[in-house]
Amino acid sequence: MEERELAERAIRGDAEAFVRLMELHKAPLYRTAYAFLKSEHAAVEAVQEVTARAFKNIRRLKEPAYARTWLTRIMINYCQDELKKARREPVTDRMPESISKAGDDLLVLEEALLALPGPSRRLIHLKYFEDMKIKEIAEIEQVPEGTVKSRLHKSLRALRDFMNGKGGRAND
Amino acid sequence: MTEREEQRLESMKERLDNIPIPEEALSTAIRAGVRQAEQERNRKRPARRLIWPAAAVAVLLLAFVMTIRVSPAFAHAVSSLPGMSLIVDLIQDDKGLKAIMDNEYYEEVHSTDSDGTVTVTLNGVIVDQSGMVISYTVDSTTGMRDPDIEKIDLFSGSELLEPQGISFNYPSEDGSMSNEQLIHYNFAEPLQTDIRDFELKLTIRDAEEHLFSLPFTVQNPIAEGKVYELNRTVSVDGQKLTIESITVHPLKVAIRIKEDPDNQMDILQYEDLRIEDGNGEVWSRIINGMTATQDEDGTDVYFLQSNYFEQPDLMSLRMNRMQAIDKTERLVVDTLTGEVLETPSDGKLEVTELSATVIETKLKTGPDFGYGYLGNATDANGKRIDLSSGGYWQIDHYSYNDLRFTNGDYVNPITVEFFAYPNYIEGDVTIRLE
Repeated sequence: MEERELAERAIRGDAEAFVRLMELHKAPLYRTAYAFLKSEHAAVEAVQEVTARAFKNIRRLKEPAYARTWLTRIMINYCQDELKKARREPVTDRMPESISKAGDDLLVLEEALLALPGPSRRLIHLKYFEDMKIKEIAEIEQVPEGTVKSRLHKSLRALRDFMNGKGGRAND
Repeated sequence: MTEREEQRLESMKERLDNIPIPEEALSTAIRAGVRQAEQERNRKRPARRLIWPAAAVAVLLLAFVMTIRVSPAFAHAVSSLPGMSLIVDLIQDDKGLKAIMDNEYYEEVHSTDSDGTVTVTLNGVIVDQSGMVISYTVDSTTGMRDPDIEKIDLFSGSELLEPQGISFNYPSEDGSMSNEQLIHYNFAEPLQTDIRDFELKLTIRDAEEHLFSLPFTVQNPIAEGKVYELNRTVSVDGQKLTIESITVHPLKVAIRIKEDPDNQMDILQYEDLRIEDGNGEVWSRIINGMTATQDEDGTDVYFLQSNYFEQPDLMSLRMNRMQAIDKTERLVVDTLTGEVLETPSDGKLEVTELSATVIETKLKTGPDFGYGYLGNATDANGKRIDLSSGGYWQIDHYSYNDLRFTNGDYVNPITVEFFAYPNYIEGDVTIRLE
């Protein structure tokens, strides 16, 4: 069955079709969760939670063709909520795993991403990790394309400033 | 200017694309997520579509709201109090609640919490050892769209008061700025009567999640349930049942009944279970909210409207007519071959749709039956099959009931129990309470 048909059936309340739709998207959703939460355990948990939220609200998915985008958005919202929560809870006994290796210059990038404000982080993620087009991002964020472009630009600049500050590489 | 950052992001994406994917753990998480959503959904939506909890031990028997009106003058006087209009609606159907209002057992409480956009204010509560009815108002500066209650927890100190069942309405979906709601929270264990301080934790989600924490204190003493230990065994049409005890609370009367396992028939519904006083006044089954439940040991607990405040001298528990079906009468189907292997011998039941995840049936009941009639489904190994939902509806002289399974992961054939059935046994049981 095609993705579109699965999504249509899921919207009509077919639990089995919904499960198959989630199976189709589980790897990208997991990667998204991992990019934010940096832990296998937390990312699997995120997939469960997002499955529950999506299933409860499946009727709000108006256009079956956008299932992946819609799920990604729920995932990012969940992850950003979790990060906010983690910041409120002072003690964490869990050392985040890392995508980068020790001594790697990607470590600096990871730190820089963490320091970005939520909306900037989301834009960067959608553009560079989810490979979305400006037009798609504009739809998700419900702002004009021009605004997406300028915000992205600003976000990249912020990243750069942060890394320059951290990495001590001025005027690179 | 920003190329370097873009390059780094690019190589980070490559790393991310190559992380190992825990395929199985994710498949399990997806199943668990669907189950989680279904369980949350089953906790609400009480009325129109009858839904069974997927894996819960407790069976919730829910009936439809009937419209019986009390004196309009009374209703008017009470509904002008803050947070009272929904309670007034409830009173129409429940004599026990009306007595609670007459005896001023309802208590106003004051607690409010806001996250800037949405504010929740408690209006008042009715609490006894069996449960709590909470009236509250939700105000939103923007108007809520498609709100959903995600979580309701009631605490005493740091201890969660374990619920046996919670029923509630959705906050209004029409984008209104303010609306009033009720929660019925039934306790799994009798509440200690000396507790005064509570805290309600509520999660409401519309576009975002709103968390509220509402501590409150009740002033009035919590009424102690009056327990009648009976252990009386009676026989109706040859079927033995033991009425273990009756507990009278302000909110409800709980009657514990255990059927003899050697009975030839299963008793399904006690249609006219009631308490009568010396003047012939009757307190019948609760018809709105949680109406019955089942203990883990298989004892059924039925709820009647309460006469706690009346305290009549002469009280009798009475019943005359029950739905019952011979234990040999079953519905057995094979969803793989599409065969219907057994149906009850009276020929009233017909299977109208059969697939790996759906059994839909039609039952000749007459026009006013009013019960969903299919119960649990078990597979050939005696394993309970997970339900995603069950629906009940009525067209003319027929009732319809479907069961939807979460997946086809079971061994055929399937046996489906009956929860109600239009076959009756009659007798006259009267037990004096003293």
